[in-house]
Amino acid sequence: MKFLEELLRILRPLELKKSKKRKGFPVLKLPILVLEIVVKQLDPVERFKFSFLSKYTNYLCIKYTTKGSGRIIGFTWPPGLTIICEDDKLVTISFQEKSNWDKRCPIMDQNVDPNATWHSKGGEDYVVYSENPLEQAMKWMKYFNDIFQFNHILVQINFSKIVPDFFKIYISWMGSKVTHLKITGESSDCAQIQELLSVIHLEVLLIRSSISGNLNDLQKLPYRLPVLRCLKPDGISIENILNMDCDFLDLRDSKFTDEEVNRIFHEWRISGNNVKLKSLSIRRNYTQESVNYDVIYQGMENENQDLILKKREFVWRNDAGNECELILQGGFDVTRADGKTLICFTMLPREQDLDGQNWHSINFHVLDE
Amino acid sequence: MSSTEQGTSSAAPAEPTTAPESAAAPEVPESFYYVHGKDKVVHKVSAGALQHSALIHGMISNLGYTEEQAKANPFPFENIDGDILQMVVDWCNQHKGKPTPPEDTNLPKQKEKLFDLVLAVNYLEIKELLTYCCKQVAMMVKGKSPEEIREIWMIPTDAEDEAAEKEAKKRAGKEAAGETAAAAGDAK
Repeated sequence: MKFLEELLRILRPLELKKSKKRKGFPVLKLPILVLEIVVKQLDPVERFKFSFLSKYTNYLCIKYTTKGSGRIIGFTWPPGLTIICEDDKLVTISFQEKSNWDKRCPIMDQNVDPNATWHSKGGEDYVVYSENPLEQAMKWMKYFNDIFQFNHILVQINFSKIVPDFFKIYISWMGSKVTHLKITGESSDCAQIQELLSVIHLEVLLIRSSISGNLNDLQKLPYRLPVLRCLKPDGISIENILNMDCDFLDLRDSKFTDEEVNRIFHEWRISGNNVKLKSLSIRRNYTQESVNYDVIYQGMENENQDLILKKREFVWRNDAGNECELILQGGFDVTRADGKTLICFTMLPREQDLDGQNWHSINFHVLDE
Repeated sequence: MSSTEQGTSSAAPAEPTTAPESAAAPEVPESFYYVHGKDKVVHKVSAGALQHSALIHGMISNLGYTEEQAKANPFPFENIDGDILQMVVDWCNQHKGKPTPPEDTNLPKQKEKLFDLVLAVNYLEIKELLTYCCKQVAMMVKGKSPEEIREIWMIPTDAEDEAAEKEAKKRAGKEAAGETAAAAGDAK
């Protein structure tokens, strides 16, 4: 009997398991609370690679990923995805039609190039082969968004190259949310933009092409656009600016003269609520020596003299169009009859960025009441 | 802290009757407890070091052992290998009363040892050491491809998962049938 007891003790499953030599580390055999800590320790790149491995690892990633942190997913054309993680790691996935690989991704059931190449920033590049690259890219975008709940979804399109029903396909997978829309190409048509903005909900519109068509169409947006940035604002007139229905209008490489810039301020002061903009930045690509500030700020100089030493902080927008804090010393404050105050100030490249940068910007910001 | 240290620099000089710190606060002798693992080797550990383990700390608080009782009744951790328990005890001693550093490079590199250590540390509820171990586990797959991660972490494919599930169901069905047959036999 003693012998049998001893034998049973030795053969207990726990003992057998312990004595078995393992090649790897059976992470899924860890207690669930420990597994949760391990998954949370993975950085986003490793986490989504882990999520590829099986339905269960995919479930674990969705369950244990903190939602809504500072990650960005971008869609580019030809179909491709760019994921920027919190630590600036970059992962790119391009989608191609021709299939040379037979390696199946267990989640997406598509061919994935197993030879991922290292990106110079430390991230990785992948290629996915599929019969329908666009649809597949959307599928993957939705999949990543389910896991990481990106707070920035960037879509970059060129109207002349993109398929006509692109946004229909997009909306069917991702819904109407696009936080940042970047329009590239030679020219973009106002009517097309207007149509687009009626079906998607946008925070930042970045137009990197010339704008054609009737710019007044942009005044009839179905909602108040938070940020509009135009990199080639040739077709935008002072009237367009004064009626633009967005919070922050940022015009780069503008050709407005000093007199025209000054007119914006005068219009704002005399025309009551006509100016809907909360912030306006007009950047011109020439050195400040060729700027006549007396003309630009004509009429403001006597408004408030003691601001030179006063530091003020307010919400501004960075190059990506996201909110940032601006600390301003100096500038002019103009208060109009209804009590609203407009701050007018100049911005120049930082000293360390001066090399090759010849720009200055004239900025207007309506202070919160 | 002595009373002289407590005064401000402008305060009156300390009174000559003020006793030095060591005399004012005589050191309380440290109490020790005993633990053993599967190999029955008993480790003597101070109460201060054992504070890292929420499980043992809770046991000590509830039992209220004297030194003699503690010596006579070492805490048995039969499910922890001797060498793993030794590692845990060493870590607790090294970090006794100290703030834990952000990283610990002394954890075992062998996967098998680390797995057993994680299980032990989780069981003993040593939060900081568990975090280090989990970091180390996560580091194993840093920069690896999905297939390498599968290999390192022994992650089964969906097909393998399904097969294992079927097998488990089959086994459970057989066991249930066996139990029913045995129960029927007993009833007869």
